[in-house]
Amino acid sequence: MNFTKFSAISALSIALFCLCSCERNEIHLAFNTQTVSPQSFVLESTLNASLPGDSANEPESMRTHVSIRSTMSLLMSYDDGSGRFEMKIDSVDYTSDKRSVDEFRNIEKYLSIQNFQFKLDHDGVITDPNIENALDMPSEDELNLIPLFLKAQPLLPEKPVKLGETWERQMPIFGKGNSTTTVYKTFTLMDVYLQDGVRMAKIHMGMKYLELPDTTSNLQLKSNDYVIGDGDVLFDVTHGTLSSAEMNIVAKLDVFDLVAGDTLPSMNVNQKITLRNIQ
Amino acid sequence: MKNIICSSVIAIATIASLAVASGMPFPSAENGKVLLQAKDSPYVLEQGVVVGAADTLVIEPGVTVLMGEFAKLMIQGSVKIAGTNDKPVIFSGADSVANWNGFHIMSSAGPFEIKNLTVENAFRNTIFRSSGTLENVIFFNNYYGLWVDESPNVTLFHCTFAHNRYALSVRAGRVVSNGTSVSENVYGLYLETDGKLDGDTDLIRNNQESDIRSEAADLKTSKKRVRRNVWHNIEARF
Repeated sequence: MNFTKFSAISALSIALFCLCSCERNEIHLAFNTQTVSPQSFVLESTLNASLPGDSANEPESMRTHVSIRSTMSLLMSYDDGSGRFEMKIDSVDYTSDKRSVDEFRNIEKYLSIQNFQFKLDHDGVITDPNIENALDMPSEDELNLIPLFLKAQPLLPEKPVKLGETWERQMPIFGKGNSTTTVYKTFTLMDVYLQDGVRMAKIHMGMKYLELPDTTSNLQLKSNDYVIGDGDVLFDVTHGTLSSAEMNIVAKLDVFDLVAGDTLPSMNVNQKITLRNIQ
Repeated sequence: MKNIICSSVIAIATIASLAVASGMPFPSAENGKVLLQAKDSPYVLEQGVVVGAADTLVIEPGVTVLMGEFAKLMIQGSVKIAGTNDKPVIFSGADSVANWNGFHIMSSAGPFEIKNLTVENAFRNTIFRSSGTLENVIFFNNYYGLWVDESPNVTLFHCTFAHNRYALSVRAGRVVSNGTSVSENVYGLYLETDGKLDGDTDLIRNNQESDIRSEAADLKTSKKRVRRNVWHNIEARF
C-alpha cells in the first residue's frame, strides 16, 4: 500500500512539474528511475569498415551486423533519484563477412549471456555497468554490448529546456581492461508533441570522441581526428522512457601493428546504431 | 594412433552421457589452489570460471571435466595438469552436439605444465601471452584446436591434432613442434602474419583442405593488406 501511495505521489509530482514547466514554455526531461515497468528494446548495429585500394593492393572491406532483443528491468530505486537496472539479453542475431557461420553461432551464444546491470540517474547518466556472467579479461577481439547501448543513450539536461535549446554532456565509455573513452555529446530539443496522448520530445544528438590507442595491445587503433556521430532521439516525456535513438558514426582510423611493424593508414569506419523501445 | 583416438572418444562419449546429470561442481580456490582430484571425478563446469593470477590449477591423473554449453575455463594463474598415459585428464563437452567455449591460458605466473590431456568438442582453446609445454595432449573435434597468440615460447611435445576444423593457429609468437601430429583435420597449421612454427613439420599431413597455410602468403596472392585480426579488433572497438 505504501509503495502504491509513493508511486502515485511520484507520478503526480512529475506531472505537476511538467505542467508547471510547460506553462513557462519549458519542458523537464527525466528518466523514470523509480517506478518504471520493464521495457523491451531492440538494439541494432551495422558496421562497415574499408581500406581503399592503391596501385599495388585491392580495396578491402568488412561488414558486420548485430541485432539484440533485450529487456530492461528496475531492480532497485535509490533515495538520490537513481535506480539500479538489469539489461537481460533475450536473443542475438549476428553476422559478419569476416567470420564463418560457426563463429557467428559461437558469438551469438556468448553475447546471449551478457546480461548486465547498471545504475541510471534520472538525467540518463549510466554508471557502474557490469556484465553478470562475463569473465575477466575477454580477449581483444571479443564483442562487448555495453558500449553500443552507451553510444545510443541520450543524456538529458539538468534543468528544464525550451524548444531549440542546446545542452552538452560528456560520458565515459568503458573498454577493455581499465581503458575509458570520454565521449562528448551535444543535444538540441527539436520538437515536443503529443502522440496518442503521450508527450514526446524529439532531440538531436551529436557525438564526438577520440579513438586512442590501447597501449597494452600490439595492435593499436588511433583516429587521426574526432570520431563523429549524429542522430536523433525520441523521448517519451510522459513515462520518462526512451522511445528510440539512432546514431550514425563516421571515423577514420590509423592501424599500427607493432609486431609486424606495419601501418594501415586512413581506414574508413561507418557505424549505424539504432535502439527502439518495442513495448 | 587412430585406434587410440577413437577409443578415447568413445570413452569420453560414454562418460559424458553417464555423468551429465551428476558430477562434482568445478571447485573454487582454497589456499591458492584449485585442485581437481580423481576420487571426485567427473567434475561439471556449467559456465565460465576464472582461475585467478594468484592461484594454481592442479589436476590429478584420471580426472574428467564435463563442460556445459557456456563453459569457459580461463586460467590466469599457474597450471599443472598431470595426466598419465594410463590415466589421462579429459576436458569434454557434456553435450555431444553443442560446443563448449574452450580453455584459455592467459598467465604470466610461469611456464604451464600440461601432460596427457584430451581436449574435445571446444570452440576455441587459446594460449595468450603465456609460455610452457604441452606434452601428449590430444585436441580432437574442436573448432579451433589450439590458438596461440602473442606467446613466444610454446612447445608441443608429441601432441595430436585430429578432426578439428582449424587444428593449430599461431597468430603472433613462436611454437616449437616436437613429434606432433596434425592429421585428418579440415585445415592443419595456419600461420598468421606474425606467427612462426619451428621444429618438426613432417607430421603435418593428410589434412582435407590444406596442411600449412600462411596468412602473409594468402594476402600477397590476393593483393590484400588487412589481416583478419585487424578487422576483428576494429569491430571490437566499435
